[in-house]
Amino acid sequence: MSAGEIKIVFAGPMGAGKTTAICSVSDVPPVSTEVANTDQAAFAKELTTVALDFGQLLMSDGTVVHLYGTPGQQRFSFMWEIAARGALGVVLLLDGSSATVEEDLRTYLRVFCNVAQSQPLVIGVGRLEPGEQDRLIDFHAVVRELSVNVPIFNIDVRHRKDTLLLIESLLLILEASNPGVQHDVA
Amino acid sequence: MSPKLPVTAEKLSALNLLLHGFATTNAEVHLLLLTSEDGFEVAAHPATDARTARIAAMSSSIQALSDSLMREVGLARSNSLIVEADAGAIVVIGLHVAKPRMSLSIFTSKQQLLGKLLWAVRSLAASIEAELLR
Amino acid sequence: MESVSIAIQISLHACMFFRHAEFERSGSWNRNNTARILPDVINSLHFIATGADLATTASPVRLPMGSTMKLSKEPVGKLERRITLVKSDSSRAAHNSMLFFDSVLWVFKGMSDSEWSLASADDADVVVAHHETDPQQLQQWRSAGKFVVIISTDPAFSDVDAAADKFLLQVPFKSAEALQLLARIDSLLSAGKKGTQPGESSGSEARNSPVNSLTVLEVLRMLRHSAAATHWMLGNINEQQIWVRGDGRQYRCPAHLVEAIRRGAGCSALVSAGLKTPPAGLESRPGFELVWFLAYHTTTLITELSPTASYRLQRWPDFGLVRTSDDVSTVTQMRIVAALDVMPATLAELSFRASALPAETICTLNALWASDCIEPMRVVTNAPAAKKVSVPRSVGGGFKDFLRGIRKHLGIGVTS
Repeated sequence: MSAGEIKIVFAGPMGAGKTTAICSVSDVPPVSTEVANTDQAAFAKELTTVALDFGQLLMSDGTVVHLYGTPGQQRFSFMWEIAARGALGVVLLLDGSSATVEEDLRTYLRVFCNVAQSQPLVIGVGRLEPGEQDRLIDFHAVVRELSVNVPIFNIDVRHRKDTLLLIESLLLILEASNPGVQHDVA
Repeated sequence: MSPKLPVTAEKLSALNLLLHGFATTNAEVHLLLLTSEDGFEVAAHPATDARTARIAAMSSSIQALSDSLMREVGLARSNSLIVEADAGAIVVIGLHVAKPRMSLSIFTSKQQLLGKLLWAVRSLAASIEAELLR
Repeated sequence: MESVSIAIQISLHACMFFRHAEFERSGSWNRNNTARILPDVINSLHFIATGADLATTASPVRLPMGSTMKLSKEPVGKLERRITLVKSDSSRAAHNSMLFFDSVLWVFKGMSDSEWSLASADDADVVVAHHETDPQQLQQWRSAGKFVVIISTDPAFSDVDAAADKFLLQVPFKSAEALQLLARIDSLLSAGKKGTQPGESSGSEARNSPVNSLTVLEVLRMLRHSAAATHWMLGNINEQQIWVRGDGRQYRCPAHLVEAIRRGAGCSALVSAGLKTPPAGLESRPGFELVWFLAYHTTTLITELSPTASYRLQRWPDFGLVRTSDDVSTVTQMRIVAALDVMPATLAELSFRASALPAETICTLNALWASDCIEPMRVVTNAPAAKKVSVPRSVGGGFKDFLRGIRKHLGIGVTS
């Protein structure tokens, strides 16, 4: 394995579950840059990430995969590009209960399709009420507006297997895009 | 500015005065910025710089990363962060005494002597904290 | 006599084709231009005749200008389809468009798989109406299980119930388009056993029979393109009722039935619940889940799919919803979808590229088709292109080893 950082970026608006997602898979306690949120009127969360969340996957052959969680608020958008540069892929997490979820989707998709043009991107939508899962149809319509085709899954990042589903889809897209790689099958 | 920041108008005025006074006595300093921990601008000199909102966010990011780094290596709390560039320097000082926590960022030209600046900035930081605690 | 009869038939056909060709060009009848378009008409006759499914007794006829044409006798043993054309006098264009459709039926009589005959609206399987027809009337026909074909003379017209093109003909349209649409409807009607109308109860048949599942699937696909969210359909799974909302986006059933559906329990034909609504206490689930699993557990290729056609991915299915506890199966499905995302493929190509068994590929393709996630390549569409991705340089040449390693480390996928 050649030198250089291997990283997966978790992006999305505040409260979408980026820190939780990283915590669910990281092999080390993630480094957090969360501070007190002074804008409770806009976001009813006590803490907010102002730089990066940082976790790691420590593989047995010594390879380390870095997991970065970007700050969600727009004023920290400079961090999105810094984090996404050269990433293996981007996991975009959205809060399905947010009134602005479709606008968030447009915003983040525009940015990350631009800064991470050749990296796979998958979308996980959390906090959908039971019976609301069909709203993914609406999100697909938004994605089509931007002329891209990316996976959108209904997930709950509190469950490790859901975060793994998102990572697996990134890996499968990479694998399918590289015809020289034969699949490992049982 | 964050709408919820508990800094009264009177305090804000006093803070701006402090920043203005510092800039007057340190001609090589071209931007002073007091930011909330989560990246909102509290006070600035000059007040009309269009970049202050973005710089405030960046300063808080760098402050937070610096704090994380210090925790990671076991050096307790980060006091100040210095970034030296070809054309000048940035000093970011965390203000930990008063609540809510803030940081003070000073942007200076290359001509400014760093040692002298650090001494002056620490003095300013103490004055600001005293004002916030008053 | 035979040659005279053939000549008369040719002339009649030629007259209709003059009008067809002109209509296709300009959307209006103009007999003064028939001489100009005669070569095209003759070529059209040749094309259609040689492409038709002809009976064994056919007489080659030499036409002027060196074209040849074969005529067939009336074929026997075809299914009868009833169609009604709703007269529209709202404009000359609307009137002409209906006339044209009528002439398509007349001219190509005997050349389609089924026999189309005009009937009253009450008796018809298919209603052809202008877009200005009263929407309530259109909805009534749809609710009665009829296929409604909209002919639009307004380029800006958009009918959500016409399902993004499904049964919409935009004037000027070619006769081939009308024929393709009728052929599609014909295959949907044929999906019912012995001409059974979608929605009729067929309780005497095995619940898990492929034909029943297909019929239900076709109904569910149609529902997705309807806006009748206030109406409900009733189905039967394992002797228990399920309710499917009229727009196909939701279904309700007892909670324990959800797992049965995911494991492959089939559904008997869906019927309209009339004015009834689901009782309280039922689990509310997304319609996508029902469609996915019903189709996935249909082990033979759905009749609308072809083993030799290429398909492209319109959108990824929600694997967060349809993933099962069987990780191997889920990963295989995802691998198939990822392969399709990169490039359109036939069944065999997909099976190869995804390293999946043909049986797995068939089931997944069925599910993708039923849930509108794929479309055939021949369809002109605005489906967006897959994002072109590359492996970061930091991963380098050991990409395969890296994939194996990370999957093993995370306990995902399938590792050797």
